[in-house]
Amino acid sequence: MKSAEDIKRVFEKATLSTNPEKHEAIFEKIQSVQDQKRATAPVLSGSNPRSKIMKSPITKFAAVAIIILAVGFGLFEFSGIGNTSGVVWSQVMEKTEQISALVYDMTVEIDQPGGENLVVLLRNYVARDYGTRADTHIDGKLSKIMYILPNQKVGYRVYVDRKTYYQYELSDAEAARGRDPEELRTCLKNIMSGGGYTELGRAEINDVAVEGIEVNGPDMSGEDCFMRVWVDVETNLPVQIIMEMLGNEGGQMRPHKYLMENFEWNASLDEKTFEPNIPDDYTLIEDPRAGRDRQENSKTQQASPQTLTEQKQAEQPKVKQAVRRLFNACTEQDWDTVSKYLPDMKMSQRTKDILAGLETIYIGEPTKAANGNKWLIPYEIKFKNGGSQKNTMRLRADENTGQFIVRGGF
Amino acid sequence: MEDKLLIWQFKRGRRDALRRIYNKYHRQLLKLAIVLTGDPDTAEDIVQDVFTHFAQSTNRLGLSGSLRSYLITSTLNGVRNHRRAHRRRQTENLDKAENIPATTRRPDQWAVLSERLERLSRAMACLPYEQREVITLRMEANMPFRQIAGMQKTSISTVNARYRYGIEKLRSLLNSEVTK
Repeated sequence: MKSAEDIKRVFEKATLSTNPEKHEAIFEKIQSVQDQKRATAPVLSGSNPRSKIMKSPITKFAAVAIIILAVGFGLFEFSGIGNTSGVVWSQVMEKTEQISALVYDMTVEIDQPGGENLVVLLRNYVARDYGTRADTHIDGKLSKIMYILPNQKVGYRVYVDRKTYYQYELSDAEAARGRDPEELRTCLKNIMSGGGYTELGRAEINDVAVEGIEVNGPDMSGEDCFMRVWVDVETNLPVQIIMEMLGNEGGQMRPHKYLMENFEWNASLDEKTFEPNIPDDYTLIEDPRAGRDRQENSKTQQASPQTLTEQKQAEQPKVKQAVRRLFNACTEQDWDTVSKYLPDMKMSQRTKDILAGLETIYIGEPTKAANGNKWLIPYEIKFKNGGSQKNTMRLRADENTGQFIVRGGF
Repeated sequence: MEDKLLIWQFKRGRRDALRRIYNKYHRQLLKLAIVLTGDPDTAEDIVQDVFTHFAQSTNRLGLSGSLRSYLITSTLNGVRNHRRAHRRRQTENLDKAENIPATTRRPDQWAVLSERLERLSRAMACLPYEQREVITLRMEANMPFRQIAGMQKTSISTVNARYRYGIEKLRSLLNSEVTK
């Protein structure tokens, strides 16, 4: 006997088989235990998991995606971390800055009534040169593949289970998202600005020694968010990221948990991974966003403006002035005034960052909607990140105070 | 990813998921338990218990861990519990020796051991239990020393030493095996 390798070979060659009848008999006993357990478990809701996940707030996925991109592309700043830990946190940033491609798994677990969680599994591919791809598994089956291809300014949603797909154009802002370091950095800072960091010390994940930090604070939509990041002490690269937050599920706020793991940093990804390669028998369907826009436009066209009475004509300058005041308040970051015009809008830090410093390009003449008391005011504004928005604002006067209030955001 | 899907399906009460898990891991767990206990009958009982408890664990199971590690750890705990119970019985009945492999198997046996596995099992039974555990977890489960040390609640150097001494002894016990 020469070495441990020889012993290893002995182990490998030492095999066993099983008696099929006994094997089945044992399994039946085990399965009867599972059946008993199931009989006493809470009844699952009969709802379709897919419909549930469609209702899940997309902003949550976006928030997670941004964190991953930020981690992946070196924007993860650990400025609050002391020097006592084994992980050199400054190197985490340096190391991740060199990453050009990564692959990781994300498990999304949504707490649902009845104690049964909805679980969606995503295999994600991110490459600086090509874009992103996410393979979504629901109920154990590949359900959907999402592509975002900034170079072509196009995105795809391929529904494998339904054999349908649609494509959509990416706006400049969407195409730039994930490439604009400043935007990502700002997002991440917003998320982390709430509660500082807590060091979690050492642990082991899948045989890898790691150190972690915990962050508590508001997420991009202003809700409470909890995040843990575990980093390999040897490579200084993240091994696992866990995020927990509350999300709207069927009208109730319920815990959502995101687990990101199995990171392959600097994975070898080629362009083919990001080619949709849609089979011929898949049907092209309409982009739901385009459908919604069309419906919205159709409603607007049908609702030809009212002929204004003299009294209403006299109100026009006041309406216009209200819109101007709202935009100016955003420019000057006067959030109390903004909230008076937008009482239904939750002024999260993310929202404030978007609105702060906006520039008014144009405010058109107010008209009255065909039905109801709403004023319609065309406008165009420019955000500080360079993006612009041209739309029609809906305004109505509060019955009690007379204060103009924006309906449905802007 | 496959195991994660299996766990998720299992947590939702899917019978086929339990079967797939059972079919995927039963041989490895049986072999592990046989090598650790030196007794196929005991090993069968332990592995059956592991799956029975697993079938009841839908609410306790999380998605973040490794299914394989979970089952291996459960088997190891089963072996340790059996040893503790066995030791208690031994003090009451001193004429019984530990780890006498069953030479004659019942016809309704679950595991059918190859000759090599029988020899390996007999040789392993000659090692102190801690050494047996280190070698089995290393060789059969490909577990790193750091993890084994955590499971044995001892230092990595102690685990290394147990591994080294265990391998040396196995070498002499299995010497004829190498030439085959």
